[in-house]
Amino acid sequence: MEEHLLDRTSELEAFLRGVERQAYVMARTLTGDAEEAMDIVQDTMLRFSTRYARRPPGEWRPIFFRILVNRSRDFHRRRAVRSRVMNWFRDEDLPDPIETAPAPRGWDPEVAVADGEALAALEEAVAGLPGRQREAFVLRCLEEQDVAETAAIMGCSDGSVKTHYSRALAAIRQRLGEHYDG
Amino acid sequence: MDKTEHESVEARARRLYRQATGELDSAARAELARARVRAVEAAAGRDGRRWMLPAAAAAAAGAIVLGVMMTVHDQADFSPIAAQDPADEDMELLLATENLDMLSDLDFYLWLDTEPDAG
Repeated sequence: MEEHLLDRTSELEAFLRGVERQAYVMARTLTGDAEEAMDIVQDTMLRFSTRYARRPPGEWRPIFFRILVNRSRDFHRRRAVRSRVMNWFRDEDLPDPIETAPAPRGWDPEVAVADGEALAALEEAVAGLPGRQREAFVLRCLEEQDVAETAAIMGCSDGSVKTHYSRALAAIRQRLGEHYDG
Repeated sequence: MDKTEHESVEARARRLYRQATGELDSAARAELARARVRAVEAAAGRDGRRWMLPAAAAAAAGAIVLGVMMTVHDQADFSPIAAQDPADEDMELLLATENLDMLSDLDFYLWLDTEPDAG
């Protein structure tokens, strides 16, 4: 019994070690916020370990990333609510500070790529996608999950994944411009 | 937009992403390691306490039996809990599936959809 627990514990440790960096970069890409991404990964690890670690290890990966994607969705929901509340209270005569603020990191596709900040440019472009398209792009393109796995993680049909991914890819291509190739 | 352009964007994006995953700074790596340790400890603690479950279950069952025996018999009936099976979503998943591998894992995916945390 004790030996079994030790085996399971070391298996869990190895699994988390294997996905933690990937999970962090994925959460950062999904949220566009490094600090929030770390919180999401910590929360995902804890929830996964305490609630799902007794599931067969073959099921761990989709469960883990499903939790991660859902926590990222929660972040976007919270941010949307916060934004609505701020807009409600703000003086109509004053310009919206969010709308008038300069783009994060002075984002400009050409300059960003030329300066070797291609990843930042990519993250900005991904952050500008609608939620489902963002998830489909991260899972299908960056994480190289197949359609069925992506559908399971996103909780939608294969057809939806294909539609979201195709639209995301077209938007990313347009956003980053021709110079991104090569 | 042709397929070649798409593939090129995909390939470049994937390479950058892989690079970012491999090049995390030491502070982020340390924080991830701490989170991992906490998560594993939490899971181990939870498993370690499981030996108490049968005793706790027996105690709870005893309390329930005692409670039922002491309760008057003319209390109102309880309504059955409404089924919350998301049948529509399941059917959509089933009908849209083109991948036979997924069908073999259908039980797992359906279970995943019912999970409050993961679903």
